[in-house]
Amino acid sequence: MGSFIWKRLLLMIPTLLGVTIVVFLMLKIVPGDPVNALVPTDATEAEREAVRARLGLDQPIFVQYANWLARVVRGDLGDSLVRRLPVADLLLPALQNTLLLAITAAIVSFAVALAVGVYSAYYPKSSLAATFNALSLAGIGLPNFWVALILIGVFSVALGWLPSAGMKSAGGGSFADIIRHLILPVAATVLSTVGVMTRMVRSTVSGILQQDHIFVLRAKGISPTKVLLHVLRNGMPTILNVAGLQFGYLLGGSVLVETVFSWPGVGQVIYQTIGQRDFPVVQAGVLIIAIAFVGINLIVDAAHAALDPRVRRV
Amino acid sequence: MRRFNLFANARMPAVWLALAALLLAAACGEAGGGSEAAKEQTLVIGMSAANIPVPDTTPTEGYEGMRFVGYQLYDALVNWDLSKSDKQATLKPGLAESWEHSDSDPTLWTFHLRKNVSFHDGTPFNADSVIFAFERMMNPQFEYYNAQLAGSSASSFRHIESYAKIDDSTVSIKTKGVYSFLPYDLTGILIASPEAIKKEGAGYVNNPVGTGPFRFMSMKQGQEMVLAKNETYWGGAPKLDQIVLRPISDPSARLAALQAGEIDWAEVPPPESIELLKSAGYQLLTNPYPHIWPYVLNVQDGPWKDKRVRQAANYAIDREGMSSVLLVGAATPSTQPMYKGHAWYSDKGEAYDYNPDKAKQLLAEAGYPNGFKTTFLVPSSGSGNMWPLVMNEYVQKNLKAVGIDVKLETIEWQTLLTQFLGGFPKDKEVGAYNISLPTISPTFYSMFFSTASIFPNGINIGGYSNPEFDRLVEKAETVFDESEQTAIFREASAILADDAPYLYVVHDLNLRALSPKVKGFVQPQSWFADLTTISME
Repeated sequence: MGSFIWKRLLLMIPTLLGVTIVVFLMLKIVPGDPVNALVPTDATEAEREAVRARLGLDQPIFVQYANWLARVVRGDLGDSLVRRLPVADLLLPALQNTLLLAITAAIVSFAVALAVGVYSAYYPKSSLAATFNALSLAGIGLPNFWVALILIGVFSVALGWLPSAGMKSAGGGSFADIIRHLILPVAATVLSTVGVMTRMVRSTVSGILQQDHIFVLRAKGISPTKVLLHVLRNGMPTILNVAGLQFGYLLGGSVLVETVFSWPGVGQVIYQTIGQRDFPVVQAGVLIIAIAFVGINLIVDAAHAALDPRVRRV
Repeated sequence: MRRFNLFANARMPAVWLALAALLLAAACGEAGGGSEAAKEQTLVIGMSAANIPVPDTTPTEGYEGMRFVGYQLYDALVNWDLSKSDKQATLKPGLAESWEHSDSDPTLWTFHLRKNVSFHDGTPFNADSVIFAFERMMNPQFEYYNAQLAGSSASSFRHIESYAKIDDSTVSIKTKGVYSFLPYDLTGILIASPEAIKKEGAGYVNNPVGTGPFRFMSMKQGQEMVLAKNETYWGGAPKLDQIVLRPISDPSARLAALQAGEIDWAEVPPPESIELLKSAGYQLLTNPYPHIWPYVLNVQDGPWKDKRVRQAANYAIDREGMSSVLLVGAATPSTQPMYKGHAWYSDKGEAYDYNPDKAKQLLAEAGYPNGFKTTFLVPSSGSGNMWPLVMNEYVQKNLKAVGIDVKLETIEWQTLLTQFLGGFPKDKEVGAYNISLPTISPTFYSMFFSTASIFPNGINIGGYSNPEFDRLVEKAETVFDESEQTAIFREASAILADDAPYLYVVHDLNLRALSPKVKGFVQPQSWFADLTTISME
C-alpha cells in the first residue's frame, strides 16, 4: 500500500511539470501584454518598454519559465504584476473560498445523487425515476452560468429570498450570512455534477442488484436496509472514483459560476488575471487547481485500493 | 418477488425534514438583519471592475480605480471641480491653493500649498510631502522610488523637468519647454503621507493614507473595500459615514444586486434595463463626459487615405438611431472628439447628420461608386468600450447600405489593445480599430492626432497628419489665457471634424443607476465623481 502511494506521488511530478509548461506557453502565445493594465492608454512605447524590462518580460520565454520554476520549487509563487501583492496573498484566501464552495457542492451533489440514483435503480419503472432521469439529463446539458443567471433572476430579484452576489453582506459575515450567499452558487454548480453522478449511481446500483449474491441475500430474508448496505459496499469503489473526478471539476470548473456570483474564489481570480495578462497569478492559480486535482485523484485511488484489493496489484 | 421498500423506513424522512428545516432556518435567519448598520450613513457601490483597485496613488482598475479610490483617499495639487452637472468638469485648487508661472520664464511655475492640512494618519501636509510624492515616481535613485507607480503615472509627469521646495508651503516646478497644460497633468499625481510610506514599505498598499475626503478602513481581495468619512477634510467633511466598494464585473449580476438591494449604486447597468429600473423608482443618471467611441481609421493606406471616403463613412452612420433606440439613451451622437456642450466642441466643423445619399455621392467622387471591402478590428468587451458587439453590427449595417462592406473581426480586449498599440498590421488590410478613448486632458489632441505622435513615436495609430492642426496644438501648449486656449481647441476640433481621421460614432453617457435612497449626488460631466455631497435616506 505504501509503495503504491509513493509511486503515485512520483508520477505527480511529471504531470504537474507538464501542466505548468502548457500553461506558461499558452499565456505567452496568446497576444496581450500585462503592461497595458499598468500604464495609462496614452503612455508611449518607451514608457511601456521601461515597465516591461523592470518586470523581466523582455527576456526569452525559457529564461522566464526557468526563473519562475526555480522560485516555485522553493515555495515562492512570486508577485502579482498588477496588484503588487505576493501571489500567495491573493490566491490562498481565494482558495479557501473556492474550497468552501466546492466542498459544499460536493457534499450536496454526493448526497442528492446517492439518494436519487439508488431510488431510480430500485424503482426504474416509476414515474418519479423517469422524472429524475430527465432532470439529470437537463442538469448535464444546461450551462451552469446560464442557470446561475436564471437562479439570480428568480430567487434574488423576483422573490428577493437570497443574495445575488458576493460571499457576505456589507457589514455581515456571520455563519448564517455566508450560508445564505452559498445557496445559489452551490445550486448552480452542482447541477451537472448531480446529473452525471445520479446516472452513474443508478447504473452501478442496478447492475449490482441483478447479481447473484444479492439474489442470495434476498432469498435468505435479510432486511432491505442491510441489503442496501451490501449493494453500496460493492458499488462504492466506482462511485468514489467518479465522485473524486467530479470534485476536481467542481474545483476548477467554477470559473463562470464564481464570476456570475462575484464569489471571491480562485476561478474569479483566474478570470480576472487572464484579462489583465497577470501571468504569475494565472500560473499559480492553475498550478494550485492542478495540484488539488491530482491530489484528490491520489486520495481517491488510495481509498479505492483500500476498498478493492485488486487495484493494489496495478 | 416482494419489492423492497427502502423509503418505508420511518426515520429517513425525518432526517431529511430536519436537514431541510435547518437550511431554511439558516437562510431566513439573517434576512431581516443588518438594522444596526442602517443607522450609519453607508453607501454600497457596485463597481464594474473585477477586483477592488490597489489603493496606491495611481490605483489599478483604470479610471474606475481613480474615481472610487484615488480621488476619495487622496488629493492632488490640482483637483477636478465635480460639483456641476450642466457643464464640463474644470480644474480647481486642490492641495495647492493657487499657482502661477513666471512671466520672465514661462517654464517655471510656483505652487502655493494649502496650510493646516493633515493626512489621515495625522502627518502634516507640506512641501516635503509634495516633493516626496514626486521623488517616489520620478527619481529612480530615491529610497522610496516605486517603478510600478512611475509606469502607471508616466503621462502625468512626462513634461516635468524638475521640482523643488521653496519653503514649507511653496514648491516650484519647471516644465520641459513652455507647457501650459501642467495643471491638467498634476491632477494625475496624488499625494500620499510620506510617513505612512516610510513605515509600511511594500505593505503601504494595504494601509494607504492620503488627505482625501474618505480614509481607508479595510479591504478584502475580490470582495470589498471600506472607506470611512474624513471628519476633518479640508474641503468639508462628507455626509456619508462609510462607503463600501464591491467589485461585480458582470453587468447582469450588478443589476440583480441593485434590484435585490445589496448595493445602492450600480455602475453601467445593461441599457435594456433602463426602462424597467426607471419604472421601479431607481434614479437613472446620464451625462456626457470626455469619452469617445470611434473607429480609428488607417489613413495611411487604402481607401481611408482619401478624406472624402472618411467623410462618406461619417455621413453613413445613423447616430441618433444608435443612441436613442439601440442604446435606449445611454449614448449621444459624436461627430468630433468632443461632445456638443463641451467648451472645446466646435460648431464650425462638418456636422455629420445621417445622410446616406451624400455618403454615396462622396464615395463616387472618391472613385468608389460601387463601394469597397474593408476589415475592422473590434473588441468583444473591455473598459469603456460600451456594448461593442451590437454597436459594431449596427455600424456595419449602416456602412453596408452605402456600399462599404465591412468585415468585423472581433478580438478579446487585451489582445486588441496590444495590437492597436502596435499600429496597423503590415501583412493584411485593416481599415480601422474600434476602441474607446478618453479625452480628459487637452494633451489628447497631440497624443492622438499630431504628426509628431504618429506610431511608433506616440499613439496616433492611424497616421493622421495635418500641418495646420499641428501648428494649433503646439501653440495651445504655449498659451496661458484660458479663453484664448479654448478658442484654439475649438479650431482644432473643427479641423478634426472636417478631416475625419476617425469615424465618429457616439459618446458614452456614463450610465449609472442609484437606489432612490441615495440623495444629493451630482452626476458631473467627468470620469470622476464627488461622493461628499451624498446622503442616504
